[in-house]
Amino acid sequence: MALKIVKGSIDRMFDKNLQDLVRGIRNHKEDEAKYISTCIDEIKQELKQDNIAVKANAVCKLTYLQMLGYDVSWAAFNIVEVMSSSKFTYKRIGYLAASQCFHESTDVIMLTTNQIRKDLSSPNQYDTGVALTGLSCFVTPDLARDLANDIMTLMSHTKPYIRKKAVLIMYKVFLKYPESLRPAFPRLKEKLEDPDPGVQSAAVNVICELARRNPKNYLSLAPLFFKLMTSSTNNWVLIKIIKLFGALTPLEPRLGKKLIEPLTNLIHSTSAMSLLYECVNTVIAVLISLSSGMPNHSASIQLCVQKLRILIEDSDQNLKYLGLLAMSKILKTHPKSVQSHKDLILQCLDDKDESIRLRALDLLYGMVSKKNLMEIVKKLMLHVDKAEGTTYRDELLTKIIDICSQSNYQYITNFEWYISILVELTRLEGTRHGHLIASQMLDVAIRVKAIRAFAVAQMATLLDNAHLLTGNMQRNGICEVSYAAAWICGEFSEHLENPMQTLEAMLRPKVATLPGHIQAVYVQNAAKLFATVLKNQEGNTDSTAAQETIQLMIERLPLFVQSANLEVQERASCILQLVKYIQKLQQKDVEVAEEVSALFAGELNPVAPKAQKKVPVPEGLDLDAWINEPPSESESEDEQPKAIFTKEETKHSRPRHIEVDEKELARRREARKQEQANNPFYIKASPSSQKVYQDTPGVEHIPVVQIDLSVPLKVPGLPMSDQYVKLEEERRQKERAEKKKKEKKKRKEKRSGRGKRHDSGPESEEDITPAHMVDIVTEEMPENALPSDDDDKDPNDPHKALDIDLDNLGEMAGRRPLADSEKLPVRSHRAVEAAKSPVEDGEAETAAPQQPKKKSGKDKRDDKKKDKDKERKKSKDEKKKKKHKHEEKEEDLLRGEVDEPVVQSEGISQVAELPTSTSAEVSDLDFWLSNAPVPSNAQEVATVVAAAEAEAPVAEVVSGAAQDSEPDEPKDTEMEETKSSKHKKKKQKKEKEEKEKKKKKRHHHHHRHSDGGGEKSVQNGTVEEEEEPLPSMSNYCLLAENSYIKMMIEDADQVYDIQGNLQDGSQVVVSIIFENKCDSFLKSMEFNVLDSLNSKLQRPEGSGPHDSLTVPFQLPPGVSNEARFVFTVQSIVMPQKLKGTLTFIVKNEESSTHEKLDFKLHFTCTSYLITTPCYSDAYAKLLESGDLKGSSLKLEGVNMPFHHLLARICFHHHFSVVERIDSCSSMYSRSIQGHHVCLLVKSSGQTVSIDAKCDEPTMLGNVLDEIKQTFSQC
Amino acid sequence: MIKFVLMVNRQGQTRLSRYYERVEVTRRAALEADVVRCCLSRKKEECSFVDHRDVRLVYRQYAALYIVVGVTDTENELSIYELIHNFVEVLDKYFSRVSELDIMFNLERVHVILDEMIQNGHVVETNKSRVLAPLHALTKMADAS
Repeated sequence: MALKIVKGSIDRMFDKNLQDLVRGIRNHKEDEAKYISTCIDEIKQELKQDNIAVKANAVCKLTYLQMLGYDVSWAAFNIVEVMSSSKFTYKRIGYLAASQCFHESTDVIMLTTNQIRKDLSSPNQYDTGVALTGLSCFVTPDLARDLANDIMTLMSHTKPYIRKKAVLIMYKVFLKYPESLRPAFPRLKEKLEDPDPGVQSAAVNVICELARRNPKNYLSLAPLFFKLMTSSTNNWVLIKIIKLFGALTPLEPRLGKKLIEPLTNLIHSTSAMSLLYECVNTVIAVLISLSSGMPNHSASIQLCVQKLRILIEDSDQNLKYLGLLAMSKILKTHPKSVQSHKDLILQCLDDKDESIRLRALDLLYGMVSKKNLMEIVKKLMLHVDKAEGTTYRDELLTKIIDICSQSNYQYITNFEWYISILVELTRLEGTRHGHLIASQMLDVAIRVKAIRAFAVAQMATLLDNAHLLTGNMQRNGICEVSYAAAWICGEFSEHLENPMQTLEAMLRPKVATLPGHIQAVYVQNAAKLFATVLKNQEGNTDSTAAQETIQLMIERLPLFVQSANLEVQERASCILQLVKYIQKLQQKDVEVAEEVSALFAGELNPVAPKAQKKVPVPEGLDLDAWINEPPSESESEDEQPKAIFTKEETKHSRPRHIEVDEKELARRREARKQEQANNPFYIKASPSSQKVYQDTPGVEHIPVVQIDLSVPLKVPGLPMSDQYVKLEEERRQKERAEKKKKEKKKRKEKRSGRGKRHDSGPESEEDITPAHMVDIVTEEMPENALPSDDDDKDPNDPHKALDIDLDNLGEMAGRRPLADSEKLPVRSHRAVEAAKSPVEDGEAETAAPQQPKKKSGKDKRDDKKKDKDKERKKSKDEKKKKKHKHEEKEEDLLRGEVDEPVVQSEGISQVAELPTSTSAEVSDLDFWLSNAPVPSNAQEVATVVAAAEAEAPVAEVVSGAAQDSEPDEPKDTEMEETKSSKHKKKKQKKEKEEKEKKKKKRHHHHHRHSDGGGEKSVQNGTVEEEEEPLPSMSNYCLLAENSYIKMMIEDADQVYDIQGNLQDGSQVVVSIIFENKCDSFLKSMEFNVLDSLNSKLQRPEGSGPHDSLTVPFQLPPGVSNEARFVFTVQSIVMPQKLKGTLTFIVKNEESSTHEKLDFKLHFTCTSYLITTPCYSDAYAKLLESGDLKGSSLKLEGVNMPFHHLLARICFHHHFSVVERIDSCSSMYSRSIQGHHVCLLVKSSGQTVSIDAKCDEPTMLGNVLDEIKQTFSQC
Repeated sequence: MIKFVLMVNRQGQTRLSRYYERVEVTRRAALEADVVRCCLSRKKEECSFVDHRDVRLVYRQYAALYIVVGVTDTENELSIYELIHNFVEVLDKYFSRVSELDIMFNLERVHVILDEMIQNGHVVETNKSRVLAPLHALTKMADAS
């Protein structure tokens, strides 16, 4: 029986699955914690079972509990067990649990490496998928390093499902293991053009995320992204790309110009709000980055603002919010365009949603002008009254103050109005911003002299009615206001109408409930007031009033003497003693008022916050040296340099020395005055004139404003600012009227009538004369102040490590090949890494823009050093670029002069440039951005032909940029500057026409160039002949002969990817640029090639083997365009020549004629090679395998540095450097059909010997011949 | 990128959580509570984007269930807003009229769906049938065994 029960309970225990657990938790609402703890006990039991199903079930439940916030890290090992189950259903549970619970410090993770590797290579795509997903959550640096290579292989998996996941996880791998970025990047870049949109999107995601942190390294990808942007219809991808462009434009303004048009097109065409919003955002970013004016600049801004207005007017709150958000970005640079939508923004202030109101407030800040300030603030004040919830009200309050005080009260024309606003704001209950209002009051009262009388009157009322405020004074920050009120009343007491009353108000017993620092100010300023009162009363014959005042002081001050606050106590007792002394003197009928008020004489001027720093340290004064040796125990009081209040207090420490007898005081005063007069740094009481409105005379000339007392300004508790709005309106109207009336007397008026408040000089709507004058001390910065370091990157930011130069990867392999140490670790060969150092050293010496070589895995945490290196590298890079540009320019000049021997100079430039150019891609990008219509060679030809006045209409089939045209390209733009105006004109014309061409074609064209720079491809050039045997043409042909056929990356890669099952035929893509050099229209172009057995032009299905292909465009005069043709090649071991013909119709006004042009296409053997990186261990294996046949070559009289030589081989023949030691280097390349080609290049003196090995001897022979040819030409 | 996806009900109970950035387990509970409070306190007519500390929250309410996605400020809010709906549509399709209970009782399946759609903080798939394909395969596998 007992056994049965036990058995039953065990059964139940096993039966409890996730559903039961969830249900159980729901049924135990009262004692949930207890229930869960029993469940956890059960789970622990289950985990001890051998049955994997039970374990999986337990882990599944744990995952749920983990979500509820329970720690399940103790079960980590069990999770690993479940992960390694062979059944997918369990494996998935294991991975899910791992992805939720594991993190870097989970130690069992290291046990998972092999399991994950096994799953990654599983034939079941879902196994791989679940492993990838899980891994993305818990990848550690170790896992990343060990698995990087496996994941990289998966990026080329046949199933898009795996590819996209592998691509995405690479981002995490890069973060954890930055060394993997360079080797993986080419593959990643390929994936941007993956046929599967999901994979493409994943690649875009990863690159966007990388580029967001280190945009400059990805600038060279811009053409590719541009193409994607114009071709993709996937909004997810588009948004990412557009975001990426937003990050790139600040670095390259030309990119911005290029972007504007497609973006505006998208804005017009898209129906997706998210995309629209993204486009608008990026357009804004572009316009911000474009400092120079663009013609249609304002149109784009207008468009953005319009679209945003639609968003804001939408009933959808989300759109409204985002619209306002984007609007505030425009506001920063184009405030005018936003200001016209003031109505809309103000409307948003009434919105139900607080976050929308806050956004609208942000906008208002930038929208105010002198004209509308009062109106806007009035509106805001209404909102303050209505606002519920203190946070929003406080926000409103700070915004009002921000808006009014921005740029030195620039927009305030009437300060009486502003003071009233401030006073009104003091009636807010429960605000935290009392100190803000207080500091504004102080600031205005000190700096605007003309307003003092008014301010003092207001403050006196405020003090008088303090009891109205005191109700809530203790609770909230508003009591700070009385601080300002007391100080203003005391300091400017001469303006008080009834000082006695104010004095009385300041000494009320209730004051003692205020915070200490405020009481102190009260006491101090009561003393000042007392001095004033005394002075006023001394003239009177009746001394009873004076007696009464003194009596008042003596009666009230003891209250403060007893204060717990030291400051208050000290001040109060000093002043009490002083008053008693005065009383004594007065009883003896001594006139003391003069001396007492002298205590507080002297005007305070505003001082720039940093003025102290500007005072130079006198010679011989060492501020750091001790004057006296410090006491053994330093009791440093923490000084809080907090805001205006503490500062203000120190200023008034004078009365502490009041006990000093009057004579001494007078003497000191005298001395001080003397000193001040001699001190150039003392800011004297003379009116400062840092800020002058128009030609307004000094402050003194502005009389104190006559306040119309019939307006009940002084009644507290009533809103007064409204009246000012009216008053101000009247004033302005009056001014306007007067201005009209006295238009002729304007000048005179200005001179004499300035003083009167109601008239002033001419006034435009925008420029309204202020009613008050502001003294503003400009904030000066110390001379040697450095702009704050802009390197605000978080040093802990994992992306810092990913700041890797990716541009010259691969294709220009000679420049910056992947070092061996950079290869991704492959399972069995980790030991090899260490042995590579000599190679690195060798390369460090030669390769120009050196990236710090990544040391072995151990060193990688030596971040500091790396950063330093990077820094150095950066600057080097920049220098290089500059140098490069410079050189180009020089050469252009040269070429401009010597037009004839083009070949020669180009030969030179080629030699000179190869080693210096940072990378082909940089120039590619330049070219892409420069909008030049054709590669320079073609243009050169065109111009020469034009000069020779060639009449015959010629359709020119120009070779697709021979290899040197690549570095030459940026010259186009520079050439325009340097060459003669004739050329300039012609080119401009050409460009104009080019612009008129359809966008699509241009993209096409650009694309070619981006591909030309593509890492794995291959330079290019088709041999084309010219109908006209012009001398320049022969030059050109010569160039073309040593170049090869252009193969596009995509096709090459297809072959590359299918390495396992090599096809019989491989594809080669030839790009041909057609340029129209005559004045007639060329159309119906047809391209045909006589197929050989081996190489065939791919024709559309259904067409015969001899049919020609129609070129998909027509050419207006002077225009060039590019077309691509695909060839199928069977055997690649021999070079090939194909004969072809181009037929076309030349059409001009009178006639149209058929023309034809013959040409020969030359496929060299090296054109079948693809630059493929190879790791040295793999290379060694390859050589050991014995499958390769050898051959060798000797070159004599090669007169160039070894690294130039390597660069040439890499560049022209698509090799990559595997390893290099001194003047000996191993190189590798692979054909599109998978033949390995290995070279060992040795150089001694002028002799270069090349030992080569390849599994296809014929091909090898041809390649060597071609290499020989390359070097025989230089 | 996406920092986390949360599903919480009106009572503030977490129904699903997925973090794409490491957050300590102890901090998760506090963060979730904060986020929930932040979203629950907002009225229907208020907009669906809130800045919460350094995260921007994009949320949508479906009956008593809130789906909250925390993103970095570089993410397009509207696209995430759409993504949430897409996610719910997928759930709806799979569970045919999804309810809170469906999610609670089939948590691991919901996770599979979510993982198919978002990996690593990035959107990988939005096509409903492709998102559900692995899940269907899984069911088949389970049936077979």
